[in-house]
Amino acid sequence: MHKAEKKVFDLPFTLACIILFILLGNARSAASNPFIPGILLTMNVFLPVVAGRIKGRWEGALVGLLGSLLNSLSPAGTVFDLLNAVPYFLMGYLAGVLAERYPTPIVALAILPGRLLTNLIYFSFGLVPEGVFDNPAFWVSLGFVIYIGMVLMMFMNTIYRLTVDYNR
Amino acid sequence: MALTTKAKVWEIMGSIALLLSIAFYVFFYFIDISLILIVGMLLVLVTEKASTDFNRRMDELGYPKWKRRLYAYAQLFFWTFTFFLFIGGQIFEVSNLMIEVESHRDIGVTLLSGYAEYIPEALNNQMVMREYMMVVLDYITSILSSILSKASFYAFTGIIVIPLMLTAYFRDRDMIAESVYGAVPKKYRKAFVEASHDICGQLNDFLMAKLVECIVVGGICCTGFYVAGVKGWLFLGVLAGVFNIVPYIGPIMGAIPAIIIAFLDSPLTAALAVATIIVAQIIDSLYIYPHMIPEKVKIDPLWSVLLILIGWQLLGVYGMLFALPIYIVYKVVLTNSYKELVSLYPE
Repeated sequence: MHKAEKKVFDLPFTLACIILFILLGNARSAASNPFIPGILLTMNVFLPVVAGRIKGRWEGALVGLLGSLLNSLSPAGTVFDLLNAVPYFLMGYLAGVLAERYPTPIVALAILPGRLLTNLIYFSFGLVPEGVFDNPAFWVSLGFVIYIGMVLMMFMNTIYRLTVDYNR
Repeated sequence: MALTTKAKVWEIMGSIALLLSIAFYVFFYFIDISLILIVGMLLVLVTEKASTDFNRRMDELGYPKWKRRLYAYAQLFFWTFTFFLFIGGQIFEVSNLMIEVESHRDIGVTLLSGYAEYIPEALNNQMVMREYMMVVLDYITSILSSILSKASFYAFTGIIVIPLMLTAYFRDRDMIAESVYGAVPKKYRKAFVEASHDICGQLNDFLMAKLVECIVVGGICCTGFYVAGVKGWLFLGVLAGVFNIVPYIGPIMGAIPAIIIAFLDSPLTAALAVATIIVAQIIDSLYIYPHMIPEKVKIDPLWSVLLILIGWQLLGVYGMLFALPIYIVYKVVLTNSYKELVSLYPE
C-alpha cells in the first residue's frame, strides 16, 4: 500500500491561487448563468479542486473558503460568493483527500458534490427560480461544467508537473 | 581550448556538417511534410513524458498492472474524445465562416447594385464597381480557402502520419537504434552512442522546455485576456503562446493582435491586455527560461536576434521560426562530435 509523504503547507501557492480565484471571479468576460439570475459563470470554481489535487486537502480547502469570502468583498462579489464559501471549502478538501488515493480524472469529480451543495444552499435561501431543477438542460450544463473541470484539471496538473516538478 | 590539428578530425567534422546541411535542405524543400514530422516528434516527446509521469503517479498510488491499463485506456479515450470535440467544433466554425463570406459577397454585390444611384457620378459605373467588389471579396475568399486547405492538409496527413510515428517509436525504437548503431564502424561505435545520447538528451530538453514555455505563456495570456474581457481571448491567448516560440520578436508579434482588439473595446481593456503580456513575459524570463532551458543550449540575446533576422531574410517566416532550433542542432551535434573525435584521435 502506498504510504503518503508528509506534506508541508504551501503558503505562497495557496495565496497565488486565492489571488487568481478573485481575479477570475472579477473577469470581465464572465457570462451570466442562464438558469439562476444574478450569478456569473466564472472559471474560479475549478481552482479549489486544482489546488487540492496539486498540493493537498488544506490548500484546496483554504483556496475555496478564503477565495469565496474575499471574492464576495470584491467589486464583482455577490451574496452567492458568500454562500459558496462552505461548499467550495468542502470541494477543495475532498479533492485533496481523493488525490491521495485516486488519479486525476476521479479527483475532478469532487466538483460534482460541490456544485450540488451550492445549488442546494441557493435553493434553501430561496435564490433559485421555480422549476430549475426539473429542467434537463440544467443537469446537462452541470455535466458539462464537470467535464470542462476534468479537462482543465488534467491539463493544469500536467503543466504543473512539467514546470514546477520538472526535476523531481 | 586549442583546436586540434588532426586532419582526420576535421574531415569527419566537415562530413557531419555537410550531412546536416543536406538534411536541413531536404527539411526546407519538403517543408509541409517536415512540419507534420516536427509536430509528430513533439507529440512523441510529450507522450513519452506523459507516460513517465503517469507511471510515476501510478507508482505513488501503488496501483497494480490491470488498474494502470484501465486508467491509461480511459485517459486515451477521454483525450481522443476531447480532441475531436474541440477540433470538430473548430472545423464547423471555419466552415460556417466560409459560407458566410460567400453569402456576404453576393449580399455586397446586390447592395451595391441597389444603391448605384447614390454613388457619385465619377464612380457610378456599376460594372466596374461590381468587378472591384468581386475582386476584393474573391481575394478574401481565396485567402480563407488557402488557409483552410492548408489546415485540412496538415490535419489529414497528420492523422495518418503521427499515429504511425508514435507506433514506430514506442514499438520499434530499440530495434531502430540497434540497426543504426550496427551500421556505424566498430571503432566509432562507443563514441557515436555517447555523442548521440548527449545530443538527443539536449535537444529533447530544449524542445520540451520550449513547448512548456509556450503552453505556460499561452495559458497566462488566455487567463489574463479572459479577466481583461478581450474578445476572442482563447484564440488570442493561444496565438500569443505560439508566437512565443520565436524569442524576443515573437512575444511582440503575439501581443499586437490582442492589444489592437482590446483597444477597439476600450483603452482600459487594452491596458489590462498589456499588463497580462508583461506579467507573462516576466514569469517567462525570470522563472521558466532560466530554470528549464538547459545551460548548454542557451544563446546570447544579440546572437539570437541576428540569427532570427538572417533566417527571416533567407527563408521568410519558416526561417525565422527555425533559425534558433537549427543553430542549436548544429551547435550541439558539432560540439559533441568534436569532443568525441578529439578523444578518439589525440594529438
